[in-house]
Amino acid sequence: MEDNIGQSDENLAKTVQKGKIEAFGVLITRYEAKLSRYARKFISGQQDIEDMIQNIFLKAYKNIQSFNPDLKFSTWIYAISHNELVNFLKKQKRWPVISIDTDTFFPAISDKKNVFEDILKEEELEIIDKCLHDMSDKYREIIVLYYFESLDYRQIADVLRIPINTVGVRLKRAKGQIKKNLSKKWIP
Amino acid sequence: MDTIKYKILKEIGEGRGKITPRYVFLLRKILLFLAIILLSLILFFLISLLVYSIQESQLNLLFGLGLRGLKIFLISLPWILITIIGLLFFTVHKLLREKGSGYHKPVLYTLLIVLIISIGGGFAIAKSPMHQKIAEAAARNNLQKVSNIYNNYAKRQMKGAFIGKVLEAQEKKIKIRELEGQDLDIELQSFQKKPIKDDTVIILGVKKNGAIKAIKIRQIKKGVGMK
Repeated sequence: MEDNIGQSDENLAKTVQKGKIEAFGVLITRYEAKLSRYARKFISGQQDIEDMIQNIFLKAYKNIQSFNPDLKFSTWIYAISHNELVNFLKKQKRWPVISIDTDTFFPAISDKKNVFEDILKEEELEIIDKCLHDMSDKYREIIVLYYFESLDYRQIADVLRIPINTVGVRLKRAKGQIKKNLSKKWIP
Repeated sequence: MDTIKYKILKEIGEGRGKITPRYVFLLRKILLFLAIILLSLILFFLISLLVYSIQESQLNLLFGLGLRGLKIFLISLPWILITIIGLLFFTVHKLLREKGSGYHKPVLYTLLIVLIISIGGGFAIAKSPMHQKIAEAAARNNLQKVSNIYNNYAKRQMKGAFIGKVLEAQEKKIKIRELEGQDLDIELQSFQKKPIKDDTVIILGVKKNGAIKAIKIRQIKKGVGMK
């Protein structure tokens, strides 16, 4: 178990692929809090969150042989989490069963990435967190993955299975929604 | 916190979560690849059948005969075949985007790529004598169902359009012989250019008292219209 602690997620996944269940325990420890935080942004019931986390890890374990250790484990586990979340929201009728995602239709000029501007302070994250409840799940998810889970554009594109440019477009729109909500709340 | 981890590891330990072997994923990938290839080949074949149908029925001659010609062209198209082609097209596209790595590109790009490949593949098959050979073989070997499909697609009726060779040409009247051997009397209007004997023509018209009143008439280049 101790041998596993200093290893990268990808190496741990490789070890799990060889049948070592202890390595999977380390991965659970590393991702349980992150995935709970991700789920909590969409689901309010504690039991529902726990059930979802359990399902995510069980699916990850069952499908571990489909993981390519040359890619990032975090992208892979967030992709599973996204699918679980969508399934949950569909049951709650909060996610359309059939949807046409117009964001992915046309090539778009992406939002310019400004790393310095996008690194937010703790207080700013708290403000955004409060605005999340007024946002649609589609835009909320992109904000959560980018600002709270610190995934980059490429990773988000792979998690949500959308073009990279669409990530920029959706993020820009989500930021616009936050600005609008903030101005409604604080500017009389 | 540790309770979730404990629960998961316990479930795995009790055998409720078993690792799916690698070959299953490999097999799924191979099956997906084969499904896409197979569906694409069927798509190419059906597009080529559509092209063959348009060429054999001479529907393409209706272009250049104005809106009326276009209307007859649209009505005469094999819409069931076109619907099947459309469904197959979107299935192939969906498989590439959702199960493959097509999601990296905007939908418009992947749609265009699939469209260009499908049309290219379809036209390539249509250029070969494949359909002609299938139709002939079906007729020769008495394969009724295949023959029916080819007869249905190759001899599509154009309602309101008539193609034939001019047998007699009078001042305001001509007689043509259709491909099937049926003779038709055509009434011309004064402003219409009169064809001469042995011309092959396409006529848009309305049937009235056994004769056809020509609304539009066009001479087809020698050898194009008649076979």
